[in-house]
Amino acid sequence: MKEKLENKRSFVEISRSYPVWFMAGFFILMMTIYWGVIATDRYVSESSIVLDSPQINSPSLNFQTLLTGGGSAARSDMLLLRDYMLSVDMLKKLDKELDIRNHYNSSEIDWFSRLKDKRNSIEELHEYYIKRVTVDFDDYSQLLRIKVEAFNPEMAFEVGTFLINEGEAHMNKMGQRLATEQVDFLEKQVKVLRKGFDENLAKLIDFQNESGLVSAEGEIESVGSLIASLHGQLASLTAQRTAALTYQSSSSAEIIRLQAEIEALNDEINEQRASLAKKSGGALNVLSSEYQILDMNVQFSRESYSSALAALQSTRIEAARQLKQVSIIQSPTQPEYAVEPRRIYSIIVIIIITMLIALILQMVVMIIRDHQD
Amino acid sequence: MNYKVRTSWQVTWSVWHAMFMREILARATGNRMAWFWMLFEPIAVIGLMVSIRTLVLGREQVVLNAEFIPWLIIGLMGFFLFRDNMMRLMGAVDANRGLFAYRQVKPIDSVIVRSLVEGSVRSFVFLLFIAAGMLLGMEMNPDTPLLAIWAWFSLWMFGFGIGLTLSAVNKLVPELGNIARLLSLPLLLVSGVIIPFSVVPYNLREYFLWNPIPHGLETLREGFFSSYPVADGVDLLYLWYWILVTLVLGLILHLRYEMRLKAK
Repeated sequence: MKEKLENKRSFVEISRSYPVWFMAGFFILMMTIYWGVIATDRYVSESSIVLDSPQINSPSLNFQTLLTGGGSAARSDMLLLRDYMLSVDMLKKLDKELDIRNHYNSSEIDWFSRLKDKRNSIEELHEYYIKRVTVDFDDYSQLLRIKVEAFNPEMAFEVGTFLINEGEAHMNKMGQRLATEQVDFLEKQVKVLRKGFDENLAKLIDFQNESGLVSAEGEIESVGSLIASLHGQLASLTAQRTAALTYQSSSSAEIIRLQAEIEALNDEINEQRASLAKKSGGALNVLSSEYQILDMNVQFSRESYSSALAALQSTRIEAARQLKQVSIIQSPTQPEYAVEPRRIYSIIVIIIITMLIALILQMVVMIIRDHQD
Repeated sequence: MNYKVRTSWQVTWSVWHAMFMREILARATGNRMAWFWMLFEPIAVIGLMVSIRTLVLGREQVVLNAEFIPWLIIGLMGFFLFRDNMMRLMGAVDANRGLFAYRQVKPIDSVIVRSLVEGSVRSFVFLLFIAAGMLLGMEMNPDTPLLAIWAWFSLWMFGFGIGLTLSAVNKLVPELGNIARLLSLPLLLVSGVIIPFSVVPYNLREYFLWNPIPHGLETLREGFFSSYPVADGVDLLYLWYWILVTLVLGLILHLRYEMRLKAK
């Protein structure tokens, strides 16, 4: 009994004369107990994925891409996916599907690694979620490495699987929405253009029906050729009359007939000329210019309609190509052994750091003690 | 003549106080233009570096989410903090040799005090630069000031640890001190001060990160630009391992070879 007391006293004395070492030893002991005994096992499910889309990027090599490591579309997509996996939206979905809030704040977990949400808020859960789930973009091999920590193996596996599936669905939804919006817009355009084309065509047909002409230009041509042939006939009749007058009286029956025919032809020619161009409406030249305008309208709307149709078709194909696919390099592992926390490693780190700090404190105190008047 | 004997804490305090005043006065009024050079030297170096960088990499923004000139200023100031501590502390013991005649003054006091002086001067200049930068409309205000201060302090402590060790080593093995002086320029080049780490090929970055200085610099920049993409593998804890080890080494050397440091 007495021996024991003496031992105890000497221990107290020792601790009093080396307070720094005593505190360091105490701290190391506490941390060793925590890491060795109390800390709850964490199971880690790891997976790595790559995001593929069937787009063909022409490789371009220049100084800039060499410097920045070739920022490609795939890279930015991967970073988007990473951000989405760590977002609050994803967390809300996870919470709804797998109830991770209850999993992480269960009372079986030690106090330090538990989710301590007194306010039951999404912010606290998100902060904790970021600690337990890491999504790293591997710049070198262009992979996303997903690491999920949970307090039982099934949960870790399920969260990992859920992240990949949800992420892929979301990326597809995003790409698709953009494409469908484009398709919708083009479809509307096609409808409008189609209507314009129909209207213009109807106007042209109405005009044709009203004026009784299929094509004013054709009419002008035919009237022109008619006038030309009438001129020809007129010339030959005039020649005949001149010839007949040399041996016949001007009142003979033939001369009178020729005279009547020439006059009839002249009248006819004047009449036809007047129908080509006349001051009052209904003349062929006016009709022809109106017809040309209508015809051009029809042609223009036909062309724009057909090009819009082609664009619509190609955008539809493009939209189908926007589909992205997550290729799984390493599917979420089913943890069998609790990797985290790394007990021995943590204990060793704690010991080294504590010893170094204690050593420094001890030496500083020694140096200060050395200062004497 | 019966006055109280001071405790060693009081003695230490007055030694440090007196030496600090002496050092800082010497620093600011050492020659007529001392205070001017204190401000102008970093300005000149920054101007030079800006022109070199512009020449080599062009004016476009290579660093994501960080303006080019503030990025450079922060990196340079952080590096200068480290380098000045390292270089000037080496000469501290020699500079204060005369004072060791007093029993109260130890060689390590001169090193600690000089580190305090360098740190305060650098911090003051840095604050001036931040203020000037903000007046000029640059993005110089730290987004997470506490992180920036912590990284600044870590760099300071690292400079102090290296300087403490070297001040003893320099006295014992002068050749090693010369090597350390030679290293200062190469360190500037491999610490990611002028050239961002995103330019360094991925498989080489690992080796660059063996150097603890970029860990401090990148964290310092992260404190200033909240969405600055810190290079993978940057960890302030790594820098602190170095700080602790160099501090222990320096203290041990000073304790063990105190007499030899005082001598000559």
